[in-house]
Amino acid sequence: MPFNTYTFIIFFGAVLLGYYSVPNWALRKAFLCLCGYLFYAAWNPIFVTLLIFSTLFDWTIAKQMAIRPQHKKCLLILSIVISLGLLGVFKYGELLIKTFTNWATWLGWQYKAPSWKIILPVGISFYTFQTMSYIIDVYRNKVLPAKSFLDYALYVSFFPQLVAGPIVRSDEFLPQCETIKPFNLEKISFGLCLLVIGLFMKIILSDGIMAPVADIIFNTPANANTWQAWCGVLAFSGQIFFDFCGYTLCAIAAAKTLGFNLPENFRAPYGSIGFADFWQRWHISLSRWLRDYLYISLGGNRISPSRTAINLMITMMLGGLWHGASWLFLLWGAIHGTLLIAERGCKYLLKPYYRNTLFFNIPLSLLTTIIICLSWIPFRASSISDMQILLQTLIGISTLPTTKLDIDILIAEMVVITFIALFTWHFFRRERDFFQLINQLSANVKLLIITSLLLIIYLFGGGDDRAFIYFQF
Amino acid sequence: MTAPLSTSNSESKSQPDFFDDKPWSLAIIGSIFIVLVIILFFEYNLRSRHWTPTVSDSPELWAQERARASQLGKKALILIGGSRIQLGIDLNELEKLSGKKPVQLAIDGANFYPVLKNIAEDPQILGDSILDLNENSIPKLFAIDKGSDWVAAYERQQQQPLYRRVDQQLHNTLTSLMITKMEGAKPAKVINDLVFHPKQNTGSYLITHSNRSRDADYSKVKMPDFYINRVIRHSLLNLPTETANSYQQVLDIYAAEISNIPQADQQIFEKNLVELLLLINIIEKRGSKVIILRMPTSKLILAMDKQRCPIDLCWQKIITQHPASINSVLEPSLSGFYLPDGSHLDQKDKKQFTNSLYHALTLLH
Repeated sequence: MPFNTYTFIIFFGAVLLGYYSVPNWALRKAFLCLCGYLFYAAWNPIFVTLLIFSTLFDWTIAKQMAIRPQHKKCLLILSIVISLGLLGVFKYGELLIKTFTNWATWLGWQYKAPSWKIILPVGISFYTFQTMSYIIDVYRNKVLPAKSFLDYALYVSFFPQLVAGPIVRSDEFLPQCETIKPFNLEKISFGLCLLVIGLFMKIILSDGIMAPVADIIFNTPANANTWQAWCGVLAFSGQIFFDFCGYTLCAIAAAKTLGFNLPENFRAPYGSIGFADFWQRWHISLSRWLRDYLYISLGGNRISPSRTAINLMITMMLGGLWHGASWLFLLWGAIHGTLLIAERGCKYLLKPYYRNTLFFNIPLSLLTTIIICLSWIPFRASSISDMQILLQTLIGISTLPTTKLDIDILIAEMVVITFIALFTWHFFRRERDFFQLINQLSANVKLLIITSLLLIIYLFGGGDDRAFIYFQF
Repeated sequence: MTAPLSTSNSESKSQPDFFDDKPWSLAIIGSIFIVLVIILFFEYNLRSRHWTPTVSDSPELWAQERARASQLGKKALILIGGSRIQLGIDLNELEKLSGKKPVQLAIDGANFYPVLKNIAEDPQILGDSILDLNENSIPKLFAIDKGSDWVAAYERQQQQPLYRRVDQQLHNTLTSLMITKMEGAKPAKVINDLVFHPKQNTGSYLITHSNRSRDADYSKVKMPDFYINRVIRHSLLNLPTETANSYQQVLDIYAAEISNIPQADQQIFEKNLVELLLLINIIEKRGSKVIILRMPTSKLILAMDKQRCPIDLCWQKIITQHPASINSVLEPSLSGFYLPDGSHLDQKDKKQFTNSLYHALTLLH
């Protein structure tokens, strides 16, 4: 169940009550584990078996790696084949069948594909990557196999980050399972305040301001004029940030109320200076995963400049495909791969002229953000033709729209103002940690902020039940 | 520019504990308290202006009740039809009298046939049904309107994740308790419209409860305008009334034209009645009863109904083929109720009407 539902509020209240009522730490962890399965079952109870299978399978593989070190490589391959196989069937099965059918038809073979409707288990990409990271780390001797099955099961099924991350490493989570988490009112309150901030980002900024405009423009790009097209691009750029960052903040918040710390997933991404910088600030847990388990495994930047470029391109294209079975995601990944490669070249040439001053950084950050925003077009567009139409409209070379789009001018202005505010906020807090920043506020300011956010959620929330964008990945 | 996609793995692992027991409890407890006080203030303010909570009678709410009809099995008493049965039956009273769980599946302003068909096609429906049937609706039995859309919404809802269905129920419950969330609207809009820019201080005449029963309080509407509008809508005529100097003259213009309203084609009526009875037969084969109930109408509305499909002729055909039928116009215990708009019962008569109807039903058995 998403965090912005009444069901979650009741579920979470019951979890907190149950969790802190149980005095025994092992029982508490078992309770949390059970809650994770219940949380997952709220989407489709059948797929809980997949989660349990994934947990049992990788637990056994890791144990066998320790018992039979001579077979480590075979076990690693087996685990990766099974994990990626499941991901492949559920996530890419339909696309592969469709592509195969198209090629077969093109080659003159009348192949009729089976008419299966494959239902994508929610969050499969996240927990598969999480269990894969555990197995690879055990293989690389970076971590020891988990001592307790319960701890490992909790690591996989921990409900705050189960369906949309952040993708947690075992060495970040398992040590936290060793000691009991005492009831700490201030810590729980801090978590609840973060939850309010996360919900505000999702309900008000993403669903209330950004999503309506983004939906109109991206659903009917042919009817947009140049100003509306730019507005739509900014709206989706804002929507995806507030949606995903809001979700992650809720996940961190829920974990914190239970005494656990999850890794940060966003660090002022729209204040980035360059694309490499962006990828160290956007969906950090996925970027880290791709870097450590894919980019470095391919050789990283250790071999040659050309090989580095190839590795970057492969990493980013697979990162794009991770988001879903669509050629547009692959294109989005390729665009980012190209940007990273180009940036490396520019850096080499322009480094002597660069000075770390506002005069240089503001235009560079602005340029980075504009290009990042434009790169979201293939990510959000429904088809390649829609993407082309929108790109043409952005530069004013499309045919005139036949139907006028009905966009509330006030909402459109709010999109632009909110995005400018977001950029400014991100740029000027590039080096400052969000959590440290809010902790420095005085008690009265905290009260004022949380009250205002809660009141705005109450007054302007509801009436829209958009799911979190990243649940589909 | 900053570092490229790095090969180092040295950054901090998990988000550290920053709060160091800094005071956050004041912020969360204080803010929840303040917001609750604000909500209570507006709720009290609106209640003092005679507003009451009302949910939105939406396809989602209907789908929720439709699912309940399947779940309840033999315990269900399903009400099908239109606004008349939705406004005229007191569900609590009916439950008390019958010992069954009433499920309100009537849809305001919609054809009942898609609902009846959906019920007939579901083998899990084992409860008895009361079908609010006006003889005039039979010639238009296959009209496509929101009845079909709501049935489709139910079928879609069955595919939705479990949490969505639970959340819908919680949303409806909350809406039925809070005026500031009236009909699922954003509280900002409700507060702005009803507190800061009120056009009236009498509250809404129509309230929808979370079980989809509705209360109409006609003391809150302007009469006879409301009745005249009902007559105009029901007549399907667009008569010139510019010359009328009073409400009575408007009514007189329409009354004079009643005889010009075309009668229903009896061949179509009979053909459609057969189709209708086929569905009823399917339901009854499962051991459930289907009672046809003609809800009361009066004044010019009844006159128009009689013109389109004379009761003696049409109703006779229905009762001959389906004896488990009650006509409120012909039943002495049900015909005496005052219908302010000629078509619907006022909330104050609901309970009494339900009582009388239940006794009429027991006599029928």
